[in-house]
Amino acid sequence: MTTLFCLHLTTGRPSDIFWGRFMIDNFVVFARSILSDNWFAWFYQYLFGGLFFFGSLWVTLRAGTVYKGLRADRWIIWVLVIGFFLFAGIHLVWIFSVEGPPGK
Amino acid sequence: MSNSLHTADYTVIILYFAAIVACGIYFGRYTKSTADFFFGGQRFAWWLIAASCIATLVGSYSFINYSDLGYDSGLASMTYYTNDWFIMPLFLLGWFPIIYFNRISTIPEYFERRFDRRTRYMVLILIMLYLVGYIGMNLQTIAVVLNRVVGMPILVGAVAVAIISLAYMHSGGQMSVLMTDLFQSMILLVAGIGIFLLGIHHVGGWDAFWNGLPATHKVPFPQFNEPANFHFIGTFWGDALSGTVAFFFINQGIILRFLSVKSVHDGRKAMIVMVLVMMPVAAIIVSNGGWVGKAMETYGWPEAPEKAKSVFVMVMQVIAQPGVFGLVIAALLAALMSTLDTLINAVSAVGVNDIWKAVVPGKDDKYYLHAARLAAVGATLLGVVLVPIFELDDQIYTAHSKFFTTILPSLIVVLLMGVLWSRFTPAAAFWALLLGSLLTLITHHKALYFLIEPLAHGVSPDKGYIYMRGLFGTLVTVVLGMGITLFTKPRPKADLSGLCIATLSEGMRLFKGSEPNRSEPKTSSPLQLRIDAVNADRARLPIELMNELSIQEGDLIYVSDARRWLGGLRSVHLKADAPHQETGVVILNDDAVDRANFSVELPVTVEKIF
Repeated sequence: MTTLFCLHLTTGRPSDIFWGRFMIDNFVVFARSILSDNWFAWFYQYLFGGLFFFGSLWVTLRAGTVYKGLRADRWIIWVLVIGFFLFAGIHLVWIFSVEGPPGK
Repeated sequence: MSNSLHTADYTVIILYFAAIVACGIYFGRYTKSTADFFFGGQRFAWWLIAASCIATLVGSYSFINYSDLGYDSGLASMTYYTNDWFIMPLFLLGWFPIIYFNRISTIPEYFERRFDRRTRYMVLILIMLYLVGYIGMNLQTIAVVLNRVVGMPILVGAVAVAIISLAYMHSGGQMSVLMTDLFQSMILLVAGIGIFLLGIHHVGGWDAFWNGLPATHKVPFPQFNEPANFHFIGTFWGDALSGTVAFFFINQGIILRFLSVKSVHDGRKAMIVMVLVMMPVAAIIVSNGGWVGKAMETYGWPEAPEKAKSVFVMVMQVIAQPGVFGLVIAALLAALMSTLDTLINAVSAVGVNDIWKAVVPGKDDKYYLHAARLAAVGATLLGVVLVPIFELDDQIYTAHSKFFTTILPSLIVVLLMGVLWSRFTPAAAFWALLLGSLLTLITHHKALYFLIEPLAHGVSPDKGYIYMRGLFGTLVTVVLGMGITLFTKPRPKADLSGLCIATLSEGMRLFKGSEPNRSEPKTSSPLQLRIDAVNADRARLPIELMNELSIQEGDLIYVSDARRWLGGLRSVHLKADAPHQETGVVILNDDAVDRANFSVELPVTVEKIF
């Protein structure tokens, strides 16, 4: 794993001087060296998707778009959060049942 | 394909066409205003919108493309339909209430009200080019299917389909589109699930099907960053975030569909059911041909497809019996026709609201309704004209798709920044959209691939970064938008009432015309209807009902036929007038009863909106 990581750092391609490529590509190489593609995809999707989801939920709630005094409006917040964990949970159980626990 | 057709198949196909034309024409008689033509009168229940959306979700190429993907990649082909939840808070709590409460009928209209006229015109040109080109593509695709099925020449097929589409949606607009889509959704559901069950039966049951799939075909996600044409990281950035926002936020057809619901609360319910239930179901409907094909191959399918392109047709030829094959063709046509009618309605809405009303302002609603019907005819004719052009040179077709896929991230970013950031300026919106699109477009040149490479997550440039370009376009437009905003003047907050999330609470007030009643929404039990002299757009309710439902004079109410299964087809939005003393009776005037299509002898229910 360490060899793989170091090899990637020294490919010598001109674009490697761009820190973004350097960071993202090496992060991908590292993660793929310890996780199967599906487990890595799961973590990636629910980490970055989760940041987007909960970030936008926080922003919209903070702006007062939902009237929390109403049961109908509180309901929507709960459904959104439950839906997120439902998708994450189904995907998690699905990958686990086919591949077993995370790891390569 | 045509060799496999029997009389039973032809019968099913003819019945299908006859049924959608009859359905469209029947429900078209409910259309009496432009609000009916574009938004179905904003009267429908959540379940009707959610159910009709299956046909909208299954696009023109879905059966062929997703079956190919399912054959090559297995269950991961469902990814595109199961990664949409992340944008739900923004849609349900931000964008949807904004367009609903502001009565925004088209996307370009939002751009003018939020930013300025020049941004509206730029978006208008882009959206019209996209929609009209897409109508042409759909007509061509249906004509190609008919050519293969019954040997009809392509141009004749396109003209025939155009006439059929206009026959059922010309007079009714959204009302006809919605009802025929509901019917087409049922066809898709029956055919799609039927195909899956037949396929499983053909390979020897569920266990045989599951064991026939290779291990790589059983997982929910594709490989992380390879092969270049289908990988997880591309589907995440290119579809889950970018594509989904494009589909739900700027797809004029979807916007019109969701504006057809009776309230924001019902729209939210429709959307949740659609993403949580309908989209996974749609994924199974369109992909399972490929999964079955792969399992069949494991058990010695005598003729493994040389390339996945034909897998759906090949599987159908093996498993579908006469009559069932006709149903499958009807389902294919339903997927195509439902996309086509939605597009025609969308062009009509944009054509009338963004173009014709600017050219000929101040006319009455009947005039614009007539214009909307003519616009539908015009849009369809333009689509027909494009068919031979696309046939002559498929590069035009490819260039159209490539162009719009490329500029989409910039359009999405500008829209989202407008919704989320009240400081975001009109100048920043215009220039970020223009420059962001141009910068993203030039990265199609191989010499500039190095600009995308740092963001590519290790994806090979072999296919020209078809997905990862979206991430580049997004970041570039965000940087441009933020940078230009810092040096330009924002619009005063007072001008943005209800147009961004910071001012959304004012949207409800603007919609109602007075302070919203924030008590819990409740629905009455069935009441008797009576026609009498009542103020325009008002209804008089019994005093005890107003107390029971916490309705105050001036509140928005929804009066509907008590038969819930009608889904709001016979209903109307009114305001509560001064109460009366007679128990169990609702009093409406002639005009309201006519608009709602009520029968006076049948009971109605009353629901407080806000």
